[in-house]
Amino acid sequence: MMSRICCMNKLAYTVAITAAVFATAYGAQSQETFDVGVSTILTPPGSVIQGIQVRQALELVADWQNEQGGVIGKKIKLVIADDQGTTEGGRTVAERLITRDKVSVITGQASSNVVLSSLEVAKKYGIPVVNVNGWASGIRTAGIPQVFSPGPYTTRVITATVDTLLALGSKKVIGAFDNTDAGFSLEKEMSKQLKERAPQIQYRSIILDRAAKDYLPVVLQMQAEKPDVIVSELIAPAGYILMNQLYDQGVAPTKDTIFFEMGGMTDNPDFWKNIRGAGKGALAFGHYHPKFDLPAIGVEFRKRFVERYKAEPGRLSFQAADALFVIIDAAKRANSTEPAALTEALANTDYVGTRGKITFDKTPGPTFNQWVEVPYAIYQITAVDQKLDDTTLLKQSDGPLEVKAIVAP
Amino acid sequence: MLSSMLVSGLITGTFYALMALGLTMIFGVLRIVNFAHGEFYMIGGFAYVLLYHNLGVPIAVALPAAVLAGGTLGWIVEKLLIRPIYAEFGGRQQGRDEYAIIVTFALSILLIAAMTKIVGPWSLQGPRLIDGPPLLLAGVRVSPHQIAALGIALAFLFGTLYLLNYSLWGRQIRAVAQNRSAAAVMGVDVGKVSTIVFATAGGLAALAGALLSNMISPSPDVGAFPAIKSYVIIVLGGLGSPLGALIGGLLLGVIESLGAIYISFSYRDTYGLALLVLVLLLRPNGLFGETRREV
Amino acid sequence: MSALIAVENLTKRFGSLVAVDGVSFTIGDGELVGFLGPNGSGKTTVLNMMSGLLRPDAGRIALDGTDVGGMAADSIARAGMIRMFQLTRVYTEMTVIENLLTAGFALGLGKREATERADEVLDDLKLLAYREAFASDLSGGQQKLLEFACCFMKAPKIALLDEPFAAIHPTMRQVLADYVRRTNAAGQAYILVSHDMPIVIDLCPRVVCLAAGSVLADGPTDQVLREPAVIEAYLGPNH
Ligand SMILES: Nc1ncnc2c1ncn2[C@@H]1O[C@H](COP(=O)(O)OP(=O)(O)OP(=O)(O)O)[C@@H](O)[C@H]1O
Ligand SMILES: [Mg+2]
Repeated sequence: MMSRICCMNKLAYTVAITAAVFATAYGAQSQETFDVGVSTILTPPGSVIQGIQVRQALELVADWQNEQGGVIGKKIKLVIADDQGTTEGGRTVAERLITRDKVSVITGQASSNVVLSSLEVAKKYGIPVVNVNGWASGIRTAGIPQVFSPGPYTTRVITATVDTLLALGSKKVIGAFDNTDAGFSLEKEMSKQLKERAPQIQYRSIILDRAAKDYLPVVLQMQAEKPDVIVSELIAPAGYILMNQLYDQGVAPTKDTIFFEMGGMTDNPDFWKNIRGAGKGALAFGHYHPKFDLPAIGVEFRKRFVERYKAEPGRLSFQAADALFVIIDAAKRANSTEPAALTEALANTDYVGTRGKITFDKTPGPTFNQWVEVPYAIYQITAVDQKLDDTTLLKQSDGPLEVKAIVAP
Repeated sequence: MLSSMLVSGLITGTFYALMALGLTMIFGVLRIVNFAHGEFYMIGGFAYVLLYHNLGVPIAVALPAAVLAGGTLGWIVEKLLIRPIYAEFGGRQQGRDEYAIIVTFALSILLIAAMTKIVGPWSLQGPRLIDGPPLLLAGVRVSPHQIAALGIALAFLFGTLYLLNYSLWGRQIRAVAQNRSAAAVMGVDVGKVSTIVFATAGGLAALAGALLSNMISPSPDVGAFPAIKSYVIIVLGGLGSPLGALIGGLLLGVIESLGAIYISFSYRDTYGLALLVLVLLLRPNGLFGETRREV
Repeated sequence: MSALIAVENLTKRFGSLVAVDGVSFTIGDGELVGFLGPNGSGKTTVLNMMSGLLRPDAGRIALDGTDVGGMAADSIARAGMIRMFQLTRVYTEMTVIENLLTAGFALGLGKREATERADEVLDDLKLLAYREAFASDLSGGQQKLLEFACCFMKAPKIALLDEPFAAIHPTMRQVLADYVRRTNAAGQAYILVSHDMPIVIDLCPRVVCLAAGSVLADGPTDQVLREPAVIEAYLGPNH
């Protein structure tokens, strides 16, 4: 079994290396490019669907910018590499993008463990990293000046979740997390915040193996405990299986038990291809909702996305787009694509992205170099096959939760 | 709670056994481990789901078609890739095991890549065999679909075991499994037996993939999980023992289910391995493995 | 007229050891030929090559005029050259009748045919009482008889028997010898490898004697056994 995995990795590397060689040979023709390294998930075990969303958005933004003449006279060139969503993948891809492909900046990472494993590499070479979807607190508390996070982060996600639980008046809550860096980080923060902010809530958390394909034992156990709310952070495909089994056993969503999807997978392109009745009535957390008041650039991004990919962008599309926009803005202000200049410019970001004005906090701790006010939405899905557009928006960022708008399934 | 866990474990275990049975038959007859076994499962799942969703084929046709797809794939793979292993005089040539490992690994990677190319990395849930309100079985809600899937799985499991024991071809298979060269010298067509076994194993794995596609949506990489389980099971049950695959599968299902609740869920996959180590310490050839092997 | 079996210049090496070194002989229809030779002289290796379990390094093996050297073991068996091992190889996890049916089916018999034939052979070999017993419950000698029975589910063109009389009870030995004698009288050809001199003398009109991988003598039994070279090979130079 070990050798199976190791062989697959080797193959993936070989493919990635070949692809990178091609890319380098091709790119060598034009001297003046702004090389942006993209480390994301193109093959399992990571969530490939996340990697695809990130890649689509980045390619769109790069092409869009190049149409307008690129950045300070250089065309943006994305050097895309597969990190498989694994720790080793993240480290080697970062190392390779920097030393061989000589990129000026890295972005695209879709999972916490990948960002975490690239931290030291970024620091060693002084190359900035703009983190798309690494939620774990450790990414910020490490205090690495080159790493910037315009996406979701643990304390904000958990604050939003606990706010929601309080607004719902929940008494008994079960939290399900996967055994990844993001899962552990969220689990810890959730226990901490509930203890401090809502000691009256009876709470228990469980860590689930993200590779498992059957959660029935846990589902039956949850059933016996009769919680008001089940919060799940599991991402696809594990999250799909858990949701379906909770639904099949009549555990959640029901009129007695709310299912709160915190992992941000309800706007995945294949969500309704895997979830039927289990989706109806679920509360969902995301970093984008079509009812958001988007700045002009966000409206334009959405329009171009729908034109190009014939599908609505999801929250990951916006996160990835913002990461690249922030990089472009920094290069313009620095009038340079040198890593050191980029890092300095990134730190002073004050830029209106697709969903609002992005700045990076300088306070050391869980919000270091983080876009603190990153917007989020809590919404309810009220029908099978429902478009994101038609879901009920319950809460927009720090606004109040529209508890009355919630309907029992 | 205990009885629910047993029910849940036995259901899971039945599907494990379906996968492991084919794998152990292949090992029995060819003395190789098929590292592409999970991909037969994946092909079965996708055949069923895509025929239904994309071509509108009714379920009653899509399910047999999935089994046929797995069987045909097994048949082709045996003829094209596995034949060279034993084509030479009882298959004693050097590098035989290495060849088998490399070829089946490569096949596994190829099939995953091909499927990703064809359908993309998405997962796609399969349709239910039948709809209807769930039944309560020892506190577990079991949908009519699951009961039907379980029934079909059991029918194929016991059907295969019955045929192995009592049919003429079944005896030929057992003869080759017990002693390949003796069977050959007695005129048993070892090539044909191997093809039949590979096709059967492919069909059984594909059936498991199709039956489970409603619970576990097929994606190109979905085969890794059932394959890893079946490797554990066939060693647990005794390499090459069909009965061992059945008992081993059920046992693994139950142990995982109980361990998940009474110990911890985050280590779910390790209970099978712990059990395996324990069994191997007491019975080095697995539960139903032969104590002596012909050289 | 071509012989039933024509072996020419058969050679097999195991590393530096030449186990079989240019062996040639022919066997006619209905002949019963004894194979003699001290331990390690290459008798089993010759049989292994004839039955398709080993590929010859050189030489030719023809069965009824067709070259079978290089053919797969099961094809050779179905072509009518069947083989019995020195160390018994029955399917211990099957019953006696299942063993026979497996062999019968392999040789192309239908279920009814095979069952009838199995009962006939079991009766001939005095094993009918054990029809439903597991092969693992039989004695070593009975297992040998069973393996022998399997070879005759469909009369072969020639049966190659490797030490069928070794380590079996005298009454069973008699049953087996009688069967060989009777079927040979009816035209069944055999190669009989055996160290059991009295039986060879009794059964085989002709013997081939191997020593160190080569044919030392080939001819009528009484003549071969009188040759000094054969006596020396068997009993040592000081005799
Ligand atoms: N697979 C093998 N690898 C290496 N050497 C072998 C192999 N098979 C047989 N030999 C050697 O070849 C020689 C001939 O062996 P063979 O078994 O043919 O003799 P035999 O005449 O049948 O002897 P016996 O009377 O003991 O059965 C012996 O020296 C034996 O050790
Ligand atoms: Mg011998």
